[in-house]
Amino acid sequence: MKPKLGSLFAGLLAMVAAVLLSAVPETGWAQTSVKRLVFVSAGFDESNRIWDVSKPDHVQFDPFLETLLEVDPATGEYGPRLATAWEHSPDFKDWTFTLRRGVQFHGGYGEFTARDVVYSHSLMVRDDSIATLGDLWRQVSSVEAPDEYTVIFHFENPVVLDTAEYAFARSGDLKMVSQAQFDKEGEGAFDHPAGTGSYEFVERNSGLNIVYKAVENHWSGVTPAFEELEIRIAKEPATRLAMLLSGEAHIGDLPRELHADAIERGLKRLSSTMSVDWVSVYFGGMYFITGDPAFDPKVPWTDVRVRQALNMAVNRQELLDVVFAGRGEMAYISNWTSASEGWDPAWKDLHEELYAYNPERAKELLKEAGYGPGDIKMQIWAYTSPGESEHPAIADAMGLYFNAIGVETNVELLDWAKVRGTYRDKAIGCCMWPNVISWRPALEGLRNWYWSGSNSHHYEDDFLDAVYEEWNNELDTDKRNELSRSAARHLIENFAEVPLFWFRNEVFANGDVIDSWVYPGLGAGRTTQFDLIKPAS
Amino acid sequence: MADITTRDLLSETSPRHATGWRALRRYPLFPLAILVFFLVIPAVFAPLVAPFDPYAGSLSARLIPPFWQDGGTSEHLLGTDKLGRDMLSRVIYGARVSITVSLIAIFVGGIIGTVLGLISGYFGGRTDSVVMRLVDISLSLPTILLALVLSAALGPSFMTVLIVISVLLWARYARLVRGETLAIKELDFIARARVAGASHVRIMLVYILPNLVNSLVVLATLQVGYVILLESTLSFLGAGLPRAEPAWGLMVADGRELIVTAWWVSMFPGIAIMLTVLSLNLLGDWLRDHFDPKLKNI
Repeated sequence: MKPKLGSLFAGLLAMVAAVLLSAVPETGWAQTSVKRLVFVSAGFDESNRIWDVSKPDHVQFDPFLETLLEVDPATGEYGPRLATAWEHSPDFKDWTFTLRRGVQFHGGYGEFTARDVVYSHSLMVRDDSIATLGDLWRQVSSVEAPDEYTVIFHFENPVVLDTAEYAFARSGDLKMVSQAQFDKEGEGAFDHPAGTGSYEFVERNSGLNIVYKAVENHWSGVTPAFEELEIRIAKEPATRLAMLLSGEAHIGDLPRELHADAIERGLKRLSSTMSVDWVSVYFGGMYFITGDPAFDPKVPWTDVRVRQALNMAVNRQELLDVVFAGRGEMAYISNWTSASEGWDPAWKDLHEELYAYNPERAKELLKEAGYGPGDIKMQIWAYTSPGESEHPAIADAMGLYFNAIGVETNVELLDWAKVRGTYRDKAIGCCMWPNVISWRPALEGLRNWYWSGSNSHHYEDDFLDAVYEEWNNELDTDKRNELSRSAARHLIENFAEVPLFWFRNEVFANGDVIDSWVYPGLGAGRTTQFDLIKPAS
Repeated sequence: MADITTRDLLSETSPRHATGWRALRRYPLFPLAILVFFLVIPAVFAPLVAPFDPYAGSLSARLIPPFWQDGGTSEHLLGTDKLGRDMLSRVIYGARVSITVSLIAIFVGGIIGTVLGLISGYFGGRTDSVVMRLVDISLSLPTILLALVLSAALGPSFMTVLIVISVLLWARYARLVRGETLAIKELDFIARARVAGASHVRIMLVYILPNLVNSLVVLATLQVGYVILLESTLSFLGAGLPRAEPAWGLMVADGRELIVTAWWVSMFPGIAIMLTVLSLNLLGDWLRDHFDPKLKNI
């Protein structure tokens, strides 16, 4: 019996389909309808040079550059990454890392080995380095590579476990780049840097976007769900919201005043697993080291009564409710949390006693300090940065509070680079500025912001320098806790800044494209572990 | 017998109120009314008219909608902005900012341009070449870009805005004045003045300048709207007045993130800008048509 023509045709069609489908290579990543995941960001200091930016700007490196240790996205605990094991000498000055074997750099630049670690560290201590942890990296007297898979950091001072793990993990800023690429291309290597991450750098269009592509067969066994990743820059919050709502972007960060709107319109909020960021407003001119030529007694807030007055002028609960939609906790002191060395729960009561909202008392303090209404003229410098969209709103609100107690306040919007450059030059006596900073071990915070040898100069005096020197060399836990408490209490009682709140990092996503994203918030750049983004089914 | 047209019949038999209406139409009443209501009264009487201090706010009263919307209140007729400041008060005071900036900038730019134009047109030669090349350069520079660069260099402040706008305005005055001076200086009364021993300065100030006043007034009026828009644009871009100032452009910028949820923050200052500039342009067109039609190309 002759086969029917229709059956024959159907059979042929099925065969052709089978051939075609079998010819499609297995991609190794989940099949989603979205090929390129677009993360829209408020912007950051753009550079391919890892030493040339601060930690918040590391969001641009996180997809493709890796660190020696990892931060668990759910628990925040430190674990192996490019290093599989690590140990310290009894005096905590030497840290030895055993490197993972067989990790390949993108672009065919060979295997990751100890010499890449030595090279990467050397970049962080360049003369022009502005890396956040640069002061810690400069305490490394040498980096030794006894063999290809062993590297030893020799520190001048002891580095305790939590500081070392923090610095060498994804929470730090020591990213691994290829010595071989630099040997071959010189400075040109930084136009297209090779990393070892689960995404590979493709291209950067300055001011516009950075594109990465997923790596198959990554050493971790994790393959990103999205074939491509794009970090797109859109400074305007309304533009980012519009991009998310229109589908032009799939994830993005938004200032908190747009969160309610975003949720109402069906976007999904993805929070970091930990409350790891604090926001405070810092005073310029806090240079109290004896004989410091940068100190200017004419700056009104060098008087502690003025600083207390400015603190008491701020209605923190109202600010939290309005700017942060209530999503945060009071910070009694910058940098210290209950997870920090030396934490003292009594600081809560001390904060309430010294910092409670009381504009009348604030005016009295100003009068005691010799300032009447309109005598003090203040500038607040605001800017936006990844995960730090609220600075203009905070600055405006502070302006309202300060004007209400007779301090004439002007808010200016600037670039982050200008603000950072000015305070690093100790030339910011005119002004205050808000800053969101990620949690770090208490000593590391003291080193970064309150030690005169750092490049930040937020508040420095002889007492804190003495505490730092002692603490930096102390190994006894009880003594370390005591030193930590003394530093914190000193900062509280001297009203070193205007501490505000702790909060989680939050981004918004299109729920039709993204199901979930577990990330700790502790990583450099805050939004990290892009390869863990799970697509919607 | 002469042809009699319908028009002739109508003109002979029009009632008195139609004649009055045609008379009224000769004057730009609508734009004048808008200007008086939106610009002059608020600018001059702001402290008496505005219900609140435009700088004072309260976070607990932020983003209250206009009174006719749900959640609105008669205390804040046009609502509040994101710092709880009264919108009506800020729009009123914004008129003061706009008129102050425009009058001073036009005055300064006009003085500079008039002086240089007079000198250029009167003396001619190399002086004229130099001044006109400066004018050409100034007119060919991209306005907003130049304004942003100057603002970045000098920092945002009232003085910066005045300097920026004056630098951008002078060239038009210089070109206008130079052209008219070239024509006037050839007239007989100028020659007689020279023969009588009048100095160059006297001739320029006493004989030539008075004949330029009409043109200068028309140009200035046409430029007020432009200056208000320019100041608003600079403020919107963050290169104008400091953030707390109740400048219309700043207010539009403040509300742009909230355009969907709190439309009033941008809308009311935007309407104020639009009505003011429209009225000024209509008034300027009327003045030009009646006093100096030669300026039609400006």
